Amino acid sequence: MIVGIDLGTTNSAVAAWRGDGTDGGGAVLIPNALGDLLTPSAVSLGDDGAVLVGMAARERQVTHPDLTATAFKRYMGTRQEAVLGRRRFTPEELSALVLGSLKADAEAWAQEEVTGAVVTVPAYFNDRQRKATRRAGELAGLKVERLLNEPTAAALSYGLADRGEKEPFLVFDLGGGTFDVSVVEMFEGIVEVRSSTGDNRLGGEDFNEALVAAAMPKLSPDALAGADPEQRRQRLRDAAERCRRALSEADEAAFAFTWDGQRHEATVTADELETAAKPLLDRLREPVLRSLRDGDVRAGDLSEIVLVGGATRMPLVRRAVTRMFGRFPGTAVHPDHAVALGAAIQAALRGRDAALDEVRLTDVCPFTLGVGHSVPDGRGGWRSGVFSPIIDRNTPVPVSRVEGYNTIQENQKEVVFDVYQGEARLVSGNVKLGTVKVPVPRGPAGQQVECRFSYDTSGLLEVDVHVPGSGLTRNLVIADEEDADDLEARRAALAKLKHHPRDDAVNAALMARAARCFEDFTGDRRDMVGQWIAQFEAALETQDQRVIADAVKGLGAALDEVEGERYL
Amino acid sequence: MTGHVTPATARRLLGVDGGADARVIRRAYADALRAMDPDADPEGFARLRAARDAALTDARARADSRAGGEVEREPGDGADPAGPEDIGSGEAGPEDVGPDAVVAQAHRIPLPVPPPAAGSTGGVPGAGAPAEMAGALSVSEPPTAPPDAYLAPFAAELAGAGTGARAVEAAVLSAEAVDALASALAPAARPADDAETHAGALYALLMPDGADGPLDEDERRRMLDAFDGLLATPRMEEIEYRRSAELWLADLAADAGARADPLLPRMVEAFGWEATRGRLDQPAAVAAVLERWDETSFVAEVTAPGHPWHRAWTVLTGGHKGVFGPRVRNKRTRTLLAHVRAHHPELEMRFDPALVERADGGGGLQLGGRQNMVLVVVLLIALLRFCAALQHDAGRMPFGTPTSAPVSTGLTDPRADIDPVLKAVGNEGLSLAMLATLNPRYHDRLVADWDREAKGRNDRAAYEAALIGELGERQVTALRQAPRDLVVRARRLQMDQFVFVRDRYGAERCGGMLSGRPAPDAAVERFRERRQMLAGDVLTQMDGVPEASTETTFRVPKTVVRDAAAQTGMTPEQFSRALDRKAGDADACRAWIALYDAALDTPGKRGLELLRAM
Repeated sequence: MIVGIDLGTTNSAVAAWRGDGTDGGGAVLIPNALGDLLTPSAVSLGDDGAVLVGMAARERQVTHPDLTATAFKRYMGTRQEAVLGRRRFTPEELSALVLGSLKADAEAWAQEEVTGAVVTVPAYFNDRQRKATRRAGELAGLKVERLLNEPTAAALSYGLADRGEKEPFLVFDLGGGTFDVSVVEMFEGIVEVRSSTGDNRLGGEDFNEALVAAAMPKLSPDALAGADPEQRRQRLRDAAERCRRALSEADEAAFAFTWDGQRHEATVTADELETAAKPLLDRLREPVLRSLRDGDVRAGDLSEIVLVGGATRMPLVRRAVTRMFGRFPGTAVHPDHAVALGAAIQAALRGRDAALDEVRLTDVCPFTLGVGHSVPDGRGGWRSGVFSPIIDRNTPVPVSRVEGYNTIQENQKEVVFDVYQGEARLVSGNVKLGTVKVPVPRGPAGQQVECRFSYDTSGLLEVDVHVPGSGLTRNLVIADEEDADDLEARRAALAKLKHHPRDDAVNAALMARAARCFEDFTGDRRDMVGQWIAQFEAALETQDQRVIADAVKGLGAALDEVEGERYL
Repeated sequence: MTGHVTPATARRLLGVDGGADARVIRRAYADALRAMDPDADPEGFARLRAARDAALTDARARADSRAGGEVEREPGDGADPAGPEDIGSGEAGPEDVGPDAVVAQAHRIPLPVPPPAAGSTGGVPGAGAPAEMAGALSVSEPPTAPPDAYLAPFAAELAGAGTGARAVEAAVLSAEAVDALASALAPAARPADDAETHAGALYALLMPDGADGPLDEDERRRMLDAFDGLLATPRMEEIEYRRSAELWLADLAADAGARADPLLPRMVEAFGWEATRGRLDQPAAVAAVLERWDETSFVAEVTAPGHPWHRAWTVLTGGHKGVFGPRVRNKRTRTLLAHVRAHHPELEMRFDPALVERADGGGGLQLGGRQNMVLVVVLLIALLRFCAALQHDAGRMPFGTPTSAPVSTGLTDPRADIDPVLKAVGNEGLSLAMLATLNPRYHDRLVADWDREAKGRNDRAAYEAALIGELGERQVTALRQAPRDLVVRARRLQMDQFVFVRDRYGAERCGGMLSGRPAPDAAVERFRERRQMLAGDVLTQMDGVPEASTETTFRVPKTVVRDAAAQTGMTPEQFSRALDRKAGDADACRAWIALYDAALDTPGKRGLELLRAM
């Protein structure tokens, strides 16, 4: 079975195509062991050294920040490792653990093996980040059938809800860590993406940071005295997350955390958040504008603005979008579910499910791709480091383009092509993907060399360089930094990790939550929680299923009441 | 696009007939797409897509022409002056010359022109600007969808809750959203009015009729207020409106030159231009404003007393005499010069050219400290000259006599033509606007000259002469003290063409040009022409009317011959032959260029005479 997976910065989800479903034209979200449709993208090492994924891990972020990792999607494509206790994990490995957990959930729900998945990535993910995502899938034992752009997935989910014709609509996807905008059109069963842009470093987490900056001056300077940087960051981020959610409903909310047995609190108003977040809201404009231009559509011609991603729940984002377009954004898709559902639809498309017989999807490449070359500088010399685009951004994919270049020196021995992705005029402003060199036959300057770029629907690039003079061709092997054997070894190592048993997930999450509450609260409330924990542990020891089930319900309800909400 | 597909071919590929409309075309495309696998056949997919786009474009054009000549646009479109031309092509510059082009670019701010004399020049709209600008900004009405459309998604909730703002609130929207809805629905005060007022004020302050010179305190404050006011108008939240305003402001700032300086930091911040610096699709006006902002920031830094380059800057701009005269031959000055040349070439205009020469190390002797030594050397040379028997008579450089041969071209768009001229003088990037700041008097003269030109009474070369004349004013003053400079400058201009050709095409071609063969390509030819003219004018400036020399040879002192020969690795005899073009083109090229270098290095009057004679 092939599933669709939304691997998000803050939360992930898995969905599958069922012919008789009601959501997204047959796609349904698969609940995890806790019964939730969303699984936090968090990994933690338990007290016994076992790996916890999901809600339990998320709760442990407050109590054991040095054993927990979150928001690792932001580091995909880099070599930045997370240190969890005595183990180190790369971002791909952490993502693989999350994917593995989702795979297990899907298999439990469907009662059949999950062999492959369509995994979503932000449309603006570059080549390195995409490769890392693919690797994560392989590390989890999943065949990544295709990488699907998140706004496209949402568009699929939205578009197929009623299968009608849709004039161009805009998908506004503001997630935990990334921002993507796509202009999509639907006609005759074809879902066509006209343009796609984004910002890889703009998301809900950035709004958290802005909120922290707004709240800090209101707290006493030594509020977090003695905390190491990681603990400090986590407390503040945690407080910001809650405060931000609260501000979605009210005009002011408390920014509060407990440290060292003391509770620190400050009040933040919605206006203050808006002021602090203004630079972030300003950054929303440029990608939207570019998407509209490249998609050749006016803001007034859009049939709908589709909001995707948890951060679009913020009133200040909705207001900004409303003002940007002079109209209200739509409410037709569930901002947290649309991407996973869309991925499931794509999975079904690949499996050639009969119900989707006439549906086709075409996407675009969101970046300009090209090489660095030299141009005459008007003084008899050459200026190097100038970007020469070969595939313009927002060209429909798959696409293959070839450009001709020539040598600039007599008896030049080889031509070096540095491959870049980006929009800057000088290569120093773009992302380098790799290099390919090809020897050229000796001769005067001006010899022809051809460079062909082939970009496929998963957004992966192949480069072929050809010298007509000698007939030589070189292919670019973008150093994947990993060969198959290594990957296999790492996959095996990950699989060998002790995983917390799935059956126990509920208990683990509950315990972690209780522990967090204990840390968070002070005084009487804290004492109460302490007692409840003791009672729960006693119940667990009886090993009596019914007693445990009752205890779980009881503790859950008690915590709900005392906490006032269950937060993700 | 993968090359152009004709509509007929496109239709054939899709299998539709000539009268197919958009719907039919899209259906054909959909069917064809379903029948293929793009991953397996990328070329086929690209062809299919190109065919569909071509067919759709054609169908749309036919539909429009049927509808009566005008491309139909919805009311929401308005006259968006920003258009796609600025984004994506990255070349929104005044490339189109001609009166039509000027009028068509209605959003561009025309230059201030003197009150038209009788028999007006025409072609350059002047005082009509505020009206045009108003047209530019009132892009479109706020969305005119009827209120019901906004409520449609909430029909179910509303059915239970009644109608009106409160009900909408009940239907999941927050209070803020209700306000937004209310203001969107209420026709109320047209925000565009506000925007127009502010924009008008900005325009008036930045492009005043007749007045020039920097802003006074009051004007500056009013300008900043107007800008802030414009930014604060509610419609600026609308993405397309904001973009139009952004481009209009960028054009205005780029054209207003120094008057817009106080606005630049705010503009750059408000529109986030830093983040899009250097992008392929950045509009030219924005790039120009960023450059100017870089410059003004740099100047502000460098003129602050603590800055490491502060002293060097003050000296180079002629502000510091010092006890022993300005000192420019130090590392700091050279670093400053290199930085300015690399990053802010326009600023080099502000430096005293004589001092720059000296700093470059190409100027005359650094007097003051070495006078004694110079005296000795001069005496020695005089002695040697007295004794020297052999001199070399060389054929003249194929420059011909520098003249001010009129090359007249009709100038229609002043701005399009003057910039290359300014660049050619060696001031890369010096714009008209900058000139207005630096030398308003000259700027006015230029503008007046254009007037006359348009009436066909003047010619281009005269402009260039006037230009050099004005710029050379400072040089002329310096000239009286160091006549060498202008001659050097002129010769440099002339020799540039040969050095250029030598570097780019090799010594052979260079020598060929020396022998009178034509330039390797049109670009070099133009380059050469321009250099010739400018060089001629420089010399003219110095000497008054040039005398036509009838001599075909001139004398080269032996010492110079020896030095130059040593430079090229030839013996003096070989060198002589090369100079006489008896030894092949490549050698001739090398020899002449070496001779030139040696002449530059020859001190005092001898060097001057030699250069002039070449």
